[in-house]
Amino acid sequence: MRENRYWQTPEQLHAAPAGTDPKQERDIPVDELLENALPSGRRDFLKMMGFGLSAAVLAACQKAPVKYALPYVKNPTDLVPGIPNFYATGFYDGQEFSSILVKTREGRPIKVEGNKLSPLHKGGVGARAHASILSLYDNSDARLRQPAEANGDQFVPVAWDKLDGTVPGKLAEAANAGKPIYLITGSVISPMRMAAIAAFKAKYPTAQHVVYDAINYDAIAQAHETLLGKRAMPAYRFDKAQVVASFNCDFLGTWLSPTEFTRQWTSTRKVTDTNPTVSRLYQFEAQMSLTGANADHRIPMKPSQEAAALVALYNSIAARARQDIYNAPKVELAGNFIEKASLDLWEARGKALVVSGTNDANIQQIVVAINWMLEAYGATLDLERPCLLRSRGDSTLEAALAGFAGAGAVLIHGGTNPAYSHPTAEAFTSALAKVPLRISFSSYLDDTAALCTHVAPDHHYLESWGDAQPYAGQYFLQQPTIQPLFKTRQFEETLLLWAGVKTTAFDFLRAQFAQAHKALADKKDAPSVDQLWMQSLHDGFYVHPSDGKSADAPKLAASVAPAVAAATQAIKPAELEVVLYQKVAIGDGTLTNNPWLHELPDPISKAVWDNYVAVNPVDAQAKGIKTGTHVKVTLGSYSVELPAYVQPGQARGTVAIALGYGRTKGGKVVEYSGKGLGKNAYPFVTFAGGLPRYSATGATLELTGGFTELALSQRHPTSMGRDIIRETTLSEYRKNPKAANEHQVHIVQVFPQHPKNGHWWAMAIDLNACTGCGACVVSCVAENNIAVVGRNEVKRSREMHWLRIDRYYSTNPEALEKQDLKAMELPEEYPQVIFQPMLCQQCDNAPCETVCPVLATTHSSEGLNQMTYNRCIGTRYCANNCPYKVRRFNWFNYWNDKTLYGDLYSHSEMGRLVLNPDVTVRFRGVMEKCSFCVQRLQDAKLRAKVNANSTFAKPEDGEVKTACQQSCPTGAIVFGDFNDPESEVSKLIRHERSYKALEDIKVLPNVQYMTLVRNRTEAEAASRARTQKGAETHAAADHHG
Amino acid sequence: MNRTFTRGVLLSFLLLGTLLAQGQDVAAGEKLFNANCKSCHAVDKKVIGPALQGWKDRVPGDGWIYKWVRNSTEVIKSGDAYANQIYKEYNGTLMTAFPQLSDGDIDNIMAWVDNYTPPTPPPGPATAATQPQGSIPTGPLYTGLVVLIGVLALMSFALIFLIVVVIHAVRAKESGTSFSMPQVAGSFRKAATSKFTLTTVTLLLVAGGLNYTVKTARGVGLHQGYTPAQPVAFSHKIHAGQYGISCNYCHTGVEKSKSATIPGANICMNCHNYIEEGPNYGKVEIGKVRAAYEANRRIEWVRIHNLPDLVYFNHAQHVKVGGVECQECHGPVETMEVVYQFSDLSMGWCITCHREKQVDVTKNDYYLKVHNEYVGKETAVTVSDLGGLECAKCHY
Repeated sequence: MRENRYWQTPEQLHAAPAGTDPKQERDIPVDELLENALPSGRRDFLKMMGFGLSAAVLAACQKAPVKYALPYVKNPTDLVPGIPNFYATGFYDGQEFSSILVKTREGRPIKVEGNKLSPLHKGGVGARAHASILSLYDNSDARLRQPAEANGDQFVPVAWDKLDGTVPGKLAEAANAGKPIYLITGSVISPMRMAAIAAFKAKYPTAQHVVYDAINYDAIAQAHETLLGKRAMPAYRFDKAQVVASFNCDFLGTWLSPTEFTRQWTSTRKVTDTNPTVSRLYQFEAQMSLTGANADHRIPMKPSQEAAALVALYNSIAARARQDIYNAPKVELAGNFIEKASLDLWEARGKALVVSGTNDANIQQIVVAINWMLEAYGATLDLERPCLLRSRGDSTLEAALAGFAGAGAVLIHGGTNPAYSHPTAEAFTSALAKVPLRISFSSYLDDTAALCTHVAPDHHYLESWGDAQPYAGQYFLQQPTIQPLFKTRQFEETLLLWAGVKTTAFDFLRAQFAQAHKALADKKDAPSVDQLWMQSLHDGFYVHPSDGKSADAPKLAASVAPAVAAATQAIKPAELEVVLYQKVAIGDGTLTNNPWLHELPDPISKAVWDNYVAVNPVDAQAKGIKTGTHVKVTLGSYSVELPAYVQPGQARGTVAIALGYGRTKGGKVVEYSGKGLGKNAYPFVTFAGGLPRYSATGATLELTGGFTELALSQRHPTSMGRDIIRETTLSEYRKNPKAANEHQVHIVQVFPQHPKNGHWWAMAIDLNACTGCGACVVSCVAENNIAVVGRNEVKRSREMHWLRIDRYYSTNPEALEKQDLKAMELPEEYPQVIFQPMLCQQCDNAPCETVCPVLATTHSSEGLNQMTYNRCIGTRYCANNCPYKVRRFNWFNYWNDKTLYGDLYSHSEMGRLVLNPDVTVRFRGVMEKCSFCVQRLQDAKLRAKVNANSTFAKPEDGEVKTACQQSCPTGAIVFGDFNDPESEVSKLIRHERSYKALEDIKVLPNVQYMTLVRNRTEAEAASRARTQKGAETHAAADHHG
Repeated sequence: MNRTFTRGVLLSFLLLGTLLAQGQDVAAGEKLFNANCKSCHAVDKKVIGPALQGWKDRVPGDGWIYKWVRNSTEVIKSGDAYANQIYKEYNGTLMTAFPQLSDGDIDNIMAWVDNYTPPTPPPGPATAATQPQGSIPTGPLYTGLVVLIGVLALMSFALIFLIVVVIHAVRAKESGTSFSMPQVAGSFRKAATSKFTLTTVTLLLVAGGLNYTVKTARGVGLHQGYTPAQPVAFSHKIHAGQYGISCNYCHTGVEKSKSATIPGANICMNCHNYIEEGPNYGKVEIGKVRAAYEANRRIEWVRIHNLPDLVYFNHAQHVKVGGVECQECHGPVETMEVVYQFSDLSMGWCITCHREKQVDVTKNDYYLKVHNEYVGKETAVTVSDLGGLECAKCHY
């Protein structure tokens, strides 16, 4: 492994590398010692050892270091050291918006939590928002600390004053000469930022605002303009849909606003006694996405088949709606699911929704037409209060590139990185080089910033004031949670200053706010602007009251015929198609310098720290590809060589590669990636009709002979028909609420139960609501100071996550019926997928407790399986005896061992600011595991005791939430006091769907799961049930035999 | 109109004296006094401001006290004779203004002052705590004890010597041989070099050494008696002892947070805005605090009570919920010129208290609701009965 070297001065850089300096080598004369100092062997050796030991003991007894207690000089009135403060703010990384609460301790943000008041997420937060807090403390060398100026190949720090002194003059010069000035940003959802840009444009009339997003969604707005006469992206309401058909659209994982959609969609998936219904989801897609994994019916489909499939669906629905039918090429898809979906959609019209993730205006037009026929507008789609997550500028980057040659200046917002993410990055780079003044606002010296003449670093979002309007009528506020750590300046402030407006971001935002709500404040009994500001700042948002008018259904402004013709003509069948997708954690690659996100296993492949080429199992077998085999994918002139991943469910004839990897500049994780952290797949993006498309035909694939073991956190693909997961179908469940859950074990308990008189903490996890997104895992990492261990450690199965999400593929039903163990290991080519969050089950008869020789793991009277780090001597007996494999061992001092994965955040004082001060950081040789967030339990109990006799004397049900539960967008995790018969958790645990994992071994877990209920079509359900039953009889026979 | 009327009524009530003082809320008055006045006033002694006893005989009537409490500066400026007299008497120290206190509040406070009875010194912890537990006692008693043991040891040695001499003399007489002192010495030498003596001495030495090693080893990492020098020679003896300022006037977090919190300089300046000179160091030490405050520079106090990172300790749980007196763990801070670590803060020390400390489950609604199994039981409930010995109560 090559050592990364960092330097502070050029002299240091050019000095001889460590180890070659003869003076250094002589520091410890090991050889001399061995040869000369020990001439007489064993006795002397023992003497020296004895001396060494006593010296070490004496050294260990030295005086403790002096510690200081540093009070505030003037204690802020709203801050008590030791008690966290929460601030509502907003997170937007150019992809997704989240309304969040930020937990701060003694003025430093340590955790992102969901804002349960927010109408969008109701307390859910995605993995990226959780991890974004770590980027605030990004290793001191990675985040830019002050503005800099290019000087040859290097950047030298400059003062803001100097920058402010020179830049406006140059901009004015360019504007006076009539030369265009380009301001490139990602989609702007902030009215305040828009106003700042407007002020800038007013000052420099030649300025043009260019909007460039790494992932483009423009086709949707274009299609609505063509067909419905309104250029807008509708607000999607998956919560109102009973039937959803999704084409290449991973709306639960990465598409548009996945956390929000996950909450919406799962709200239709919860089976309750009063409402035993579940919505139905058909997913047509090429690569196995998170949405496909959660679908009731997942139909593999090549990207090139999408147009034909959609036209077929259109025709089928049009026939029912008595509309025009078009000629469509035949499309061969497994089963007759287009017809089945069409029937379901039509029957549920007004509560049906069709979505496509393909950025093609023609395809989106067909989708619009289908939705229009299904009466989705005004029901499951809202054009009146449209989605504003994607905005337009004065021109696209592609159009602007031509003007770069004569441009006076280019200003690039830090959120965009076209030198990396643009499909024709080289064209961008060479055009950019022609511009005399190039200014980046990036916080990192990333691919684009490195090409600029100046860098004027922006604040981190947790240091900034701002706002956001993700949907029309919903206004979110963003407030700083810490003083700026470095000499950075907020983007808007810089822009305004250069536009001649000297103001602070706060004043500007406040003025904007006052103006925007003037109209509102004039109304009767409306709050004053000040009241509204305080309320919005507290809640994190303000929603304009609806006028109550329901919108008229839009009228079709044009025929869909040209789009159908164009879409069907564009179909080019090919041998091999490439699908470019985003990973749930990495997204478009903006936050790729974040180790928490790399360590979060991909929900589907369970791979960490890499991207790879996903190949269909049958294709892989034909070509002799195994997981890890190096393959080279070529499209046109660009090719990447990556390890392959044999992905069950991948459509035949397609390969999938994740975007967002392979960056080479801008931070230590990224630079580490230079050594092989994935490859850049953006150059595979092609343009069709002026829009980038994230799939391509005509690729070739060849084996290069190399092999790299991928770091997978879960290697066994199936559950081997064992009883750890239980699932049934809605029709079965309606007949019998205990369906698939009839197996109950009755074993006599010899030893007395642990008495639980006070609290009895327990958890219920609804497998029907869990989509496997992994937000809870990152939340747990942030809450419990879980170390990042790096790729090599994960390869050795030494991952540290206390909470993992197991992903099981369904086995071939025949193998299951025959109990052919060998064949059962293999998943089906097109499997069903189930996710099961697995954490310490807090067993009442815990096998780990009985084997610990030093009583480091014991049972509490509240039902917790306690882990005491200071007692643990590291025998690892407990981990070996744990049936759930949820105990984690500190093989190294992960927090401070630079040899493991390079110099990352935890090795600097700054990076450690993210640690939760209420949770111990574990040292080498110590076992750890999920504690049920005992620090939160203790805190809630204490708050109840302190406030007793007044507000609340007992933690109310739902008052205490574990970190995983808090962040879950779907509410799949319910935690509470089982001793309280009225608590939600005790109701769920007593429910017919509730079961214990590995019930037969009678460890009595305090975590229970709720059976998964899928809404499959009748015939499918019946056949599944047969094989399931067959397997169960076999299992039961085995058990008794 | 209404206001004047109420005020008039209240005033007439006040003038009726102690009889009607019962009509005021004495308990509320005590609360207000502790929250607002206690840092500068006591009832029966002069602290920073005058003793409040007998205030009624001194101050002019006509609601003078309301004006004074709410804004004393204005009263002085108005040329009021009595106001200027106090102002002079206290070297120009201004009383903090309390504009938030209503007439009713002030009446309540004064009612409490009038009904004040000096507290009887609390029995038990405070006095018992003056002896550091587990450490070697010092003082005249100890010296006397050592001298006594020495004298006794000398006497017993002399006794043994005499007995041996007598035995030898008797034997000599019986056997008819002559008695000589070297014989006696030889017998002593023999006894001293016998296997029994050697073994016993060796065993005693080993046992003593082991005892010492174990004791020392158990003390590793414990810093009982740690008395670091502080950047400012702040005297708890003066503040907490002499002036009786309540602990949580400065350590504001003690009932809310895990940290009792070290006060910021702004809390010092509540009083030291006016008090520039101290009895021990004159302006020097107070000057340091003022300088730090003005320069917005933090004071780097040396932390005395340090627990390892693997221990979670919460002050609010112990002080607010458990009702533990500060002195039970921190010792007689009010007598300490320089604060030292009073208890050893070992785990054994924690556990002993958790085993013995009794919890009144009826005093807190939380326990009533969650641990109602103990309600109405005869036997005493200790912290350990409520799970106070479980690992994850302090280690996580």
